[in-house]
Amino acid sequence: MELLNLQPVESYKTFLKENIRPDGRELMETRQTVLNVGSISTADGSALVKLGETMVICGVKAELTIPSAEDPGKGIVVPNMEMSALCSSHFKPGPPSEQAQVITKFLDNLLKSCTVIDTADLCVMKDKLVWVLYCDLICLNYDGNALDASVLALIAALQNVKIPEVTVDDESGLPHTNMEVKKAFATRGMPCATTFTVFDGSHIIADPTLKEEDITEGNITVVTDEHDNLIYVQRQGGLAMPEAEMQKCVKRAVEHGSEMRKLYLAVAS
Amino acid sequence: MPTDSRRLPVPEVSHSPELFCSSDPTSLINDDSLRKDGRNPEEIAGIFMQCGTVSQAKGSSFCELHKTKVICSVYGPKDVEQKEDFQMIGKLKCDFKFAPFSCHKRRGHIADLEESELCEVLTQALSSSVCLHRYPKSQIEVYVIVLENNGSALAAAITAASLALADACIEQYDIVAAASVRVFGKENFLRDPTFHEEYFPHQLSKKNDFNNGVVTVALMPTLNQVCGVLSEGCMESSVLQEAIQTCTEEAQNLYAPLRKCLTSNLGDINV
Amino acid sequence: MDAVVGQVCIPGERLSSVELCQAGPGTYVRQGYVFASLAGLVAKDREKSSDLPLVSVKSKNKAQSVPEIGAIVTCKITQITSRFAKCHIIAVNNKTLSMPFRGMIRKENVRETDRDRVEIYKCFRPGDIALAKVLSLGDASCYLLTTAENELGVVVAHSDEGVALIPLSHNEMQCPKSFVKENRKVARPQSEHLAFPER
Repeated sequence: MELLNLQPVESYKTFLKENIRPDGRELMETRQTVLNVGSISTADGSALVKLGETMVICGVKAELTIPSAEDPGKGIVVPNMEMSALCSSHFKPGPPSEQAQVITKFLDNLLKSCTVIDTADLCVMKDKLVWVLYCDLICLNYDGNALDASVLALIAALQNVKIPEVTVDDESGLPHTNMEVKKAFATRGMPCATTFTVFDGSHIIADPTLKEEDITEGNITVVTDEHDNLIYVQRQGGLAMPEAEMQKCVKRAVEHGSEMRKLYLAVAS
Repeated sequence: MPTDSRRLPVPEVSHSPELFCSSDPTSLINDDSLRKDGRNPEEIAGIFMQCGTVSQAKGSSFCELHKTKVICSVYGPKDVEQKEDFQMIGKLKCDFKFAPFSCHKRRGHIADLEESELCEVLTQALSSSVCLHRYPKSQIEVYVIVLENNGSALAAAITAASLALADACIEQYDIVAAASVRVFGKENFLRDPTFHEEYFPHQLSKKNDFNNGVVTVALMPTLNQVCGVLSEGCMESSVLQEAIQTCTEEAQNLYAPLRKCLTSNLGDINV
Repeated sequence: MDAVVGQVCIPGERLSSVELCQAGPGTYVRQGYVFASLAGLVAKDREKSSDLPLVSVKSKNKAQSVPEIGAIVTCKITQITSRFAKCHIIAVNNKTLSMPFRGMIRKENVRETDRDRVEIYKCFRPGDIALAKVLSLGDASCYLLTTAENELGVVVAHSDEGVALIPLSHNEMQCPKSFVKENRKVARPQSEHLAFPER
């Protein structure tokens, strides 16, 4: 019988003694990432990310709405992460789990802080009509580290968005859309997230799988942009962490980020 | 209006851009008796099937029928929830969901009535194929998500779910293959209807609203038993019979690809 | 029409008739014929007690059985009271389950002898891993298990130091670090039930 299931912590320690992880990766090694865009034709923009076995799909639907009173000249971008019961036995059907809510909020903060899309671009007519982009992410297979995969999927899907041309009739004030002519947005910045976790208070491992997430605590997520600047760092609980370790994470995140940006550029061309 | 505290706030009303474009209603088949996507009425859509898409699940599958994409995963058999009564036969729990971006109009997050209805048909079709007596006081969970709906989503979902159950090594009397057909007048049966060919009652003009609808049939191909029929719209009984016959034939044709998909990854078993 | 050994089959395929063979795991009988209920390879075993071969379908090792009466299960003790110990069944017949089932070992089913004087806390502790046999399907919440056999009982237990205890006798285990003896209903060590990787 598999000892890994019976006594996960003990068996994991024996792997770490050899500086290797049960799936054969080194501690700071991330899993192979595959990015595919535009596969959903009913969405206005879509992206599918496979991070090892973890799979996240993001579909963007653009709709027209009246802007809020606070921001009459700005459109709205609403991300939503769904960890469906389909993706893992950890989740039950029903309202979003706590983890899904955390990721949703993270994505929202990220979009607001690094302005991937300038919401002013989404304005059709000030005070009257703006676009709202519903970015729905669904985790299809959860083998840990859904956050990195969802950041990748969200940004790639937003880059893939094409919305139809809208004209507003001057006399009647009614909008008219031309579904034949579609245009893309200017997206700025290519943020990329890298998650690390701490095992046993001393070992830092990158891109944890689900089994590793179960026995570790204190996730650190570092988001870098194309100029290798840090734009978002999140740490969820866990023990105190020496600064040197933190620097190690940041350094690895910068490396990983530049690799991932090649994927963005490859699918965009 | 109740607000959803677990999701980010969204605008109260928003409209699909398709609402504001001028659309011209066209006939389902043109003068050369071809459909919009260039198929003959009898021509079926190409189907792609795959097992083991979701590695975390006990069994899973992915099905693509023209552009309709369905992913399905199966968990269990596992303990029933504590509040439920002792039962000597297993329980099948299904969940059917359209992804918010899967249709032309955006779907809500909470299951709507259409989803509940399709889920019920799915559950009933699968209940007759799974050997539930082999799983006392356990439950088997089937989750289906439609990622893109270009018509015939229910048929694709039933086929995918049966494939996932077989992949999960859940005992079944037979696999279930499903197919649908759009009835359009007395003679026209459009196989594997696309989204635009599906039945929308409000789009019908008054004069030719008879013999119009969509029929979906779930079939156990080797036993040759029908385990689910859903007929929408209004048609004569002889037309319905013919439609069911057409669907049955089509579902029967799915047996070969289903068998191929299931047997292709069996290589590494030691007898 | 008799299926050949090693042939692939999917649910619903007709394998043989009841006159030629018996239906084994992964098959079902309908109208005098044996059909496959799993996707896999056909296997035939000759049983000594009967003239007819046993036809079964070997599927991928994902195939998981629910606990049946008489099956040997591996369980992890989760909770003890003075009358019973509750546990999670984590494997059936040495096959790991993806999701645990709930089980219960009642005081009178702990051991064969001296049933009346069993004290649960001297037999199990939460966290122990024990082998047990399924007595009955129990009630809605729990399977009823028994450890009343020499080969059944605790196989893995840890002391307060966090070290694995070493079995001393049928009712005692010892910590190799602190040499403290603890009471358990110990299973007679058997290699075939639990295999540890070489350290």
